[in-house]
Amino acid sequence: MNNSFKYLLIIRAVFVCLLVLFFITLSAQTTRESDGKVIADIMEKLIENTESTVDYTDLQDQLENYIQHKLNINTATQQDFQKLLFLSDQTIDAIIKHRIQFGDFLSIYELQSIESIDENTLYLLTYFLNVDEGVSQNNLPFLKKIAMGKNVLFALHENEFEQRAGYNESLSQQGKEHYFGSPYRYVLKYRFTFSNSLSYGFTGEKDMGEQFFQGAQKVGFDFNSFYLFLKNQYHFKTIALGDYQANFGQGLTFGTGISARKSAYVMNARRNFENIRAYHSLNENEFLRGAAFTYQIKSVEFTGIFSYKYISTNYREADTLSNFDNNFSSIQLTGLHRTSSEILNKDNVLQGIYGGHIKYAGANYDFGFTAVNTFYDHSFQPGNKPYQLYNFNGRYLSNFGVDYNFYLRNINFFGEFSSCSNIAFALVSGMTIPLHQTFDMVILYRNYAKNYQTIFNNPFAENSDGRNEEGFYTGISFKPNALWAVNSYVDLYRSSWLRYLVDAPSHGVDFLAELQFNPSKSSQFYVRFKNEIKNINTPTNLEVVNYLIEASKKIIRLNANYKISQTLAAVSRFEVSQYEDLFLGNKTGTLIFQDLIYTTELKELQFSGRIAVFSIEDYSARIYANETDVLNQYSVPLYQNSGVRYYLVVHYRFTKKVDAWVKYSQTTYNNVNTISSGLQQINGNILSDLRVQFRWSF
Amino acid sequence: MKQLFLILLIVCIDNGQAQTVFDPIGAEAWSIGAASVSSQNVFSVFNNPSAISDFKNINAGISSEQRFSESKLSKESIAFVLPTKFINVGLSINHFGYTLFNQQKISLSLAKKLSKQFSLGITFSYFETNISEQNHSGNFLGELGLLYHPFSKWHLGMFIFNPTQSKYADYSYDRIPTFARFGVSYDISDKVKFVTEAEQILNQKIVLRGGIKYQIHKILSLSIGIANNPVFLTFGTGIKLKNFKVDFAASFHQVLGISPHLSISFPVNR
Repeated sequence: MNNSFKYLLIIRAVFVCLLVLFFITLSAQTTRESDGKVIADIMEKLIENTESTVDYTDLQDQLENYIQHKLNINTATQQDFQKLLFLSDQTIDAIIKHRIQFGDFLSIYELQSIESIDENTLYLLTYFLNVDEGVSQNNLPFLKKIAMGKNVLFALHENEFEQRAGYNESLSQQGKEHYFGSPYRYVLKYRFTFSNSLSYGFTGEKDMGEQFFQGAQKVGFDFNSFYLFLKNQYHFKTIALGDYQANFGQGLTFGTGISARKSAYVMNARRNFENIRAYHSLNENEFLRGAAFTYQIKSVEFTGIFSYKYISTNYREADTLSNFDNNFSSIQLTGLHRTSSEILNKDNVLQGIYGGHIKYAGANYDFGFTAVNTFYDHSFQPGNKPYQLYNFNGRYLSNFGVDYNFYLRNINFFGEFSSCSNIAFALVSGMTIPLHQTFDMVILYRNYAKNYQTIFNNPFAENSDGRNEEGFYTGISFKPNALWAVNSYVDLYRSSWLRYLVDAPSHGVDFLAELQFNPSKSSQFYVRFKNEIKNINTPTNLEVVNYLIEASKKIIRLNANYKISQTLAAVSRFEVSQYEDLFLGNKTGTLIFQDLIYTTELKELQFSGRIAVFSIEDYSARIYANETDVLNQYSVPLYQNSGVRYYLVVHYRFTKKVDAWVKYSQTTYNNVNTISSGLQQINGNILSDLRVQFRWSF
Repeated sequence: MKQLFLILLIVCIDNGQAQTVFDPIGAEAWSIGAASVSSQNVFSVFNNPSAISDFKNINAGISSEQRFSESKLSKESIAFVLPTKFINVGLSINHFGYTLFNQQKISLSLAKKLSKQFSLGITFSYFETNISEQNHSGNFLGELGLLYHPFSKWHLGMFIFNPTQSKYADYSYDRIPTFARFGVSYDISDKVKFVTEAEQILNQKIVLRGGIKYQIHKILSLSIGIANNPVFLTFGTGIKLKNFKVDFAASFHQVLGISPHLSISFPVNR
């Protein structure tokens, strides 16, 4: 080795040490957040646009997985980095350029020397990246792996303190629909992981109102899930047995699970999926059960999936008098099996899925082809209302498509073109363009035919079903310096056919603009404005002839995230929503909350609490806000009516191996006397909930 | 029938909102969401007369658009700029409509650079409307524009149309719309320009417009833009050669469809 090069290396090593020291002193002043808080912050932005109480635990699990199995900054490819949803292409580019120019990173704190990475991103990256050589322990005998791996066991109990109508004993005496089980919810999770190469686990959940070890749930939990997941065995990149998720390309042809929608990460329009990943979340529908593998020969990757599971539907046998065949018209998505009809619907139709994906990947491009077949053992007949005219019906469906993702200079092109067995087409095509160091832009066009049919897909879309939609999305992100950032998107979309509760072809616009101010790593302020205008039906009781009217919903949010002292952090929020349409008029809503997070200096004890005051005129002006929960659980309550909600989460670390979380939350309404309706109804204006969770690591 | 339907729709939609004939002119503006007041080109004689104060050479331009690809809703414009030592002079004429309904505007603009950062321009116009062969109306009106460069990369523009609230004709009850536009453009780099503007027509909803122009090559630029009330999405491309400049833009309305815009301008070197 030549002498001057040696010196350079030494100087660099010293420099990196200084950076590390600098960073450590900095982070000592601003205590490092728990992993959970970091995930919650990212989730908050990702699910910004959620307009329903979709179960996002799967998304949360992905992020957690990335934190547990950190990416090696020195070996990660562009595609690997893209999976970290919060990274812009420019940042990825800068990291890779730095790696090429200066060789491997000696420490992740060396990232500080890359000017274009702002403090907040840098801070997040410390959670997701490392420089670990990750010495391959793949050759160890299987039993040794099991002995060396980590076991984690979670047990959760949840109950509400107010009785819901479905538990009323008089209902069962009268023979009416009621909940058979206890009003408690239990979750048991066991996970084994050995570095990145072997993991397996079990998940069991009993929802409130479901029976436990009796009745319809004789085996114990209502939902039982198991997975075994192997990575990098011989030529197999992944092998999955049991429950897993599969996603290919841009998710247009096939994709299970739930992806982030349009969000405050405005640049995040491209799907960056792991083809196969283990499933250990609690959503009882959005996953596959069977086996899958990814086999790699040089730059060609072949993924095969096979799934065979029973799903809950409203399937009914035809009796001798009826003139229809055995069929079902809807699939039950809640995963709840509490009443006799819900139990009757449980796991009564077989859903089989098989297919595969071939990918050819080069240094900065990849092309793929997907083909997937789905079949049911009974016929699916969704109904004959006009809006259902083009829905899938029958027993068999095939989907196939080609996808691409490549770079031309520094512009990233991505997209997918799909078709299905009834020969309808769907296309999504986009590009991210780094216009300037400080200015990023993404545009995406999609056109999903009204008769395009899929069972599982997950593309970029306004509507959750990924069909009957054409749209154009533009996102820009402007970061003139480390302190300020402006993010914005506009999405225009239209449907050429009717939708549920939209009785004519319709169109809409979605706009978001956000101004961020980041004075330091631990404090962030933002103002966000969002406006969605779309078509809805006129209220049927007002009009003889039904037609479409424009409904506009505006939201302004002021949010402050800051540190008070080394041990105390706070979040304050003020949010106003305004809904307007021709018939309902103007409806407004307000939500104000204050969070305090106290962590003891030794970090063995943490308190997170919130008090929220809300006053919302109508359901149409409802507001959602993400909140801290016990680890692995996820909660985004919907605020409507007016009242006060508070919660307190206590996390206590008994020993290095045993943790406990307790969350108590209570909402008190001041303008209603009953909460919810039907069997879920509570007579009273208070709803309180307790969650207790233990974690044992061994 | 389709035409009647379109015209009805335009009357319904545009009566409430922007009137086609007074919309910004030039494909360059239409490629960035029709934001026009803070830009400088020969069609500024229509959009903000003060912006022609920087011209050193004679410049001429023609522009044409067909709203929703409907020939009866086409608009043609001609602009001419003559720089003199004392003041820059602009002449412009535009025509909208067809035999049974058309509107014309003929204008004379004067623009002067008052300081290195600040320019002012005024326009005198005659505006006439013809409905079928019988009904003619016409009147004079004034327009006022100013352009300010507060910092090196920032440009602020303001344009007020018909501040005297002239009527369509002296005997008419209806007034020609009065409106103000205020816009900012920011040069993010030599290649990237960000433009935004707000328009208030009296008694109507505020209109916001914005766009980005990317000079991808010395001679080729690509643009994208958006406007609301009504919502339009616009795309454009421009080719700049030594002796002339061609801009093409397409704007999309979610229900009414596509409108093409084409402009050509010729700087005449003296």
